[in-house]
Amino acid sequence: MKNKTVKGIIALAVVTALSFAVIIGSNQLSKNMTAGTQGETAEITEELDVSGTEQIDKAAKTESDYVVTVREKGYGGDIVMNVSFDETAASVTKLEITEQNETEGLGSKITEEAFLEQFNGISAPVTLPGTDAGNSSAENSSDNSAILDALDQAKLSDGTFTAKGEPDSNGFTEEVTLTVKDGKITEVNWDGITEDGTKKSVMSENGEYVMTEDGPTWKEQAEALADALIENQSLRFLTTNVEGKTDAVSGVSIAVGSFISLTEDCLAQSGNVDLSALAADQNEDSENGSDTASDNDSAIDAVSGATVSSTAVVNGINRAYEFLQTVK
Amino acid sequence: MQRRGTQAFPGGVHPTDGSDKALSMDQAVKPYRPDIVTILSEQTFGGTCQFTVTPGESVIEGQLIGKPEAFLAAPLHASISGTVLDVKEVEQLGRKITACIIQRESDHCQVSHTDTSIPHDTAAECAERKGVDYQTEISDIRSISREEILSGIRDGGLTGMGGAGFPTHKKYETDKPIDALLINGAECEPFLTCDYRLMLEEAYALINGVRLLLKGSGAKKAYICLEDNKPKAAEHLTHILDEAKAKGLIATDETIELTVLPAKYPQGGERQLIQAVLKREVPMGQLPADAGVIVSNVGTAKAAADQILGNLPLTKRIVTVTGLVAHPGNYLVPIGTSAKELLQFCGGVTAKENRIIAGGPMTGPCATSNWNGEDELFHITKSTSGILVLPDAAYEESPCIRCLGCADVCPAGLTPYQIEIAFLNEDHELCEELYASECIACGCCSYICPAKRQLAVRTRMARDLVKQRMRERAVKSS
Amino acid sequence: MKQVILPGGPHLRTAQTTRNMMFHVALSLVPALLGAIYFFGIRALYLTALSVAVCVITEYLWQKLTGKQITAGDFSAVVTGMLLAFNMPIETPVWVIVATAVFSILFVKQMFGGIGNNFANPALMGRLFAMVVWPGTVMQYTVPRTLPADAVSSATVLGTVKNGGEAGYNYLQMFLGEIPGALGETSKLLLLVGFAYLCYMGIVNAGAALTYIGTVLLLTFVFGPTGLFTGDILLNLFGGGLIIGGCYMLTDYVFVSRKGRILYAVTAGIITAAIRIFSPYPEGICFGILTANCLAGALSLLYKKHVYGTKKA
Repeated sequence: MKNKTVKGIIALAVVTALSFAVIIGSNQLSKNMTAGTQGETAEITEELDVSGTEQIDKAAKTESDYVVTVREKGYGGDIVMNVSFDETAASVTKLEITEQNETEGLGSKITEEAFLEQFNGISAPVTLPGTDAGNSSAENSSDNSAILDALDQAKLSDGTFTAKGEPDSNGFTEEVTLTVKDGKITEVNWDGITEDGTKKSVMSENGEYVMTEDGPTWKEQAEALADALIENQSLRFLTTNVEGKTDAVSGVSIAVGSFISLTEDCLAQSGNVDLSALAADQNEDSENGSDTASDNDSAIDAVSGATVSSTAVVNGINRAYEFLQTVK
Repeated sequence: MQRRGTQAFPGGVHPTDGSDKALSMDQAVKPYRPDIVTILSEQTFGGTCQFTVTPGESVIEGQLIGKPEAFLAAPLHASISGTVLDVKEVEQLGRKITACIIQRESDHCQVSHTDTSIPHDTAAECAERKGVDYQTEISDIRSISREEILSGIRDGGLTGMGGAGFPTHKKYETDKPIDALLINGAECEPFLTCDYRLMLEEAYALINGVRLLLKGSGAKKAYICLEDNKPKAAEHLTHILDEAKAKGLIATDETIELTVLPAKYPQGGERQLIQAVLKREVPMGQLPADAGVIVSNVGTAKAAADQILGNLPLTKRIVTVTGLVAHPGNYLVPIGTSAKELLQFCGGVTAKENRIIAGGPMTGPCATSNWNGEDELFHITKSTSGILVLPDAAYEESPCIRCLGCADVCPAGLTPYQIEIAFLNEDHELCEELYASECIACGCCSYICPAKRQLAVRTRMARDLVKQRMRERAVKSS
Repeated sequence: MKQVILPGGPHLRTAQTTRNMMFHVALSLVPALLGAIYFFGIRALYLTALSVAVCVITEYLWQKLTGKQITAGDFSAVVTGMLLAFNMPIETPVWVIVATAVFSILFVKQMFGGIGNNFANPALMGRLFAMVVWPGTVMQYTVPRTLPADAVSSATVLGTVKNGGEAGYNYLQMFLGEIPGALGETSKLLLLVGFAYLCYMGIVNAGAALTYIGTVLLLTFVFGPTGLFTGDILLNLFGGGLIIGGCYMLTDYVFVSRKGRILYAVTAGIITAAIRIFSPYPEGICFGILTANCLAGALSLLYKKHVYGTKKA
């Protein structure tokens, strides 16, 4: 009896271990197979050098076409796609999404045939209506040109103007204070204040609000932005990408959406511009990637409700196209 | 030799792995000659005899000392030669029973209880002088009539030697047509090996006994049944039977078949054996004879040969002494030997925490726990097959989990856990509806119960209650 | 001669005890638990441990308070706790687990007299309770984290197919367990490993489980969704909780005899299959087995054991 129990338990342990080997093995195998089936469209004749390029994982010339594997930031993580071009490297022949973590039912629809087949035979670069997804910088200026135009044209009256946002999820209420003197912006201060009066700038100095381990603090970044605004005297320079971040000011990696909107608010106060009237035909929230339906006619229809994902795909195709132009 | 299928009877258990029997299996039978024997007037429950001797009287081994008084009794004989010390009540397994105590004085025995003129010889001398060869060869029994056999069985005081101790002549003196005789050598109880040794050492006497019983029963065929864990005995018996048949020593109408059954407890239960070998059931409330079968133990068959061919009544039997004893083995002892003395003769018990059992571990009653080696225990009767010393184990009962293990193993097809509930609720009506009366008290249910419930004890009590009710009803209606 | 108390025979007892058996059942569920941890993360372990702890403590307190024999240590509450957790999705809130465990032990098991006297499987009743009280919480399943997909809720494979969707997973994934589902039920392989262990140890008889599973498969195949003989056997076998139900829930000890067991298993199978085929519920295991649990008494009347010496029925 004892003997049998011991034997039984050992057998149980061994069989369980084997089962896990099978489960994990099959998991790996199925992943490899998924990857494998996509690469075997044609014999690769030449691997193209992808060193020095960002976001291009792999590029290959085959007998009849080019295949470029591009990694592009989507809404829920990287989207990896294989873009195939014809032998002239001018038009897209096929698009495959190999990896994505987009929202189920929304962004994930970029893997559906209805979306993908639009790209078959289309000539690059590709644009997505309502966005600047065709822009080679892969940045998406916040589509508020109407406001910027109005603000640039407005005559700023002197004084100190303050705008406050809504408290965010961390409890910070963002605030921009802007001083105008002689019709020019002379001083800009951007901070976040908690309910008990603690300033984000102070916390970031003390190391309580850390962005990255060794990068500039939030306060340093906020000041750099403010300086850039004074220098430019306009928000027009401050282009943002899909994540609400900007490349326009070096060293600034924080989300600048609220800075823009609050500054707009201050400028509107100073220049006496009615923002709500202008807001009617603008997309206020470009950083969240809401649907940018527009009457612009273009070749590609975005996946409804998933502009970020769609944009990422289009940007990826264009990035691949540009890469091919440089190596061809 | 014939093998039967594995599903010989439904249910049953496999209580041990065989190491239990190995303790005493290869030990040849040794005689033990006590100086005092205590012969009980009631060798089996309800089988009372009236002693015909008085204290001070001199008796010779084999002399009739007790006449049957009850239906279930068989004649009693002195098991040693000597003087009757006393006739008094002694305690046997919790009951007070009148017993005849005899002190050994000589080794003489009485060859024939009918012929008292030639007493005072040793048993060996008696056998030699009479030219008794039934122990070493196949005897010629043609001259012995059925009536002689039946009276021999009765006068020899033969009883069942496996368990219940039912008087043998009651089985054979039936007016029912008998077509099959089963000789029970299954010995399914763990630890016991006395029948096995008997089959090995007394094979000729056994086969002669079987032939006598076959003739006495009037059956067409005798089956010697044993379990497949005794291959040596099966081989030995087969060999003797084949040789005898080849030499023509066994008449053509004496059909004796050796049947090997799978080892499973309770294969040796009378009703289960009938079911396993003959594929028939004894109707409820009736005896095997009603199904045309007589079942006798191998020990009984050998005793029949002793009595009819050797004029030696049943005064001795083989007892297995095993378990936690210094020298386990099989011992040929006179009826009435003290269990205490026999245990002491075997070197005593080897554990302080022990449990002394009269018989096998499954059905034998417990004589005492934590025996100190000095107290009186019990006295060997005609149906005591063993003295077993087990470690004293206590089990705590926990609630029944309805695993149905008891119902699965019950060879009688009962559902013991339901009977237990009904019995505890004192619902005797329900007990009867659940056929509690058909319990064979094999103990399989208690053995298998993971909750360690005393199913066998309670079902047996329910059985006795229900049988009582049935008897009362029968009395009323008549 | 001293007074002798005769202990009841037989003097040999099997080494198997209730505690022992339940321990082996709990042990046999460990592979599936490890699977749950692998597929759904360490929270699976926490939930299971919590469920087990609540079951055992509830049982102990009840027996202590009512002055009954304490059997909380016999592992049966552990088994109930494990099965209960195995029937819950990974995102089940802690308090749902606690409430269900208390309900199962107190109202299904102990109030009917404790182990052996419960009229139905406590773990299944617990699941039913949770389904009725918090339908949204316990019917939404999570995709295993080992799959490259969003961690979002979805129905089980069976549920998806029932609603006209594509299974989305191949049979191998279903068998190995890489499908959305409750904690312990997804990996059929690991459940079968545990069940094989129980069979080897002689604790369960595979007959009833096989009969039950066979009945469900046969009926769902014959009365398939698009006509006779069009059912998807492998989907029905691996897509849902049929194996955990058949191997662990059904074989709980509530029935009558060897053949009665088969009858019972067939009944449970028919009800399960009927629910799978005709009702909007994709699974039916829970209802099938619970209904058969309740019918066990009636079924035992239909099938009587043959008692030796009585006339054959």
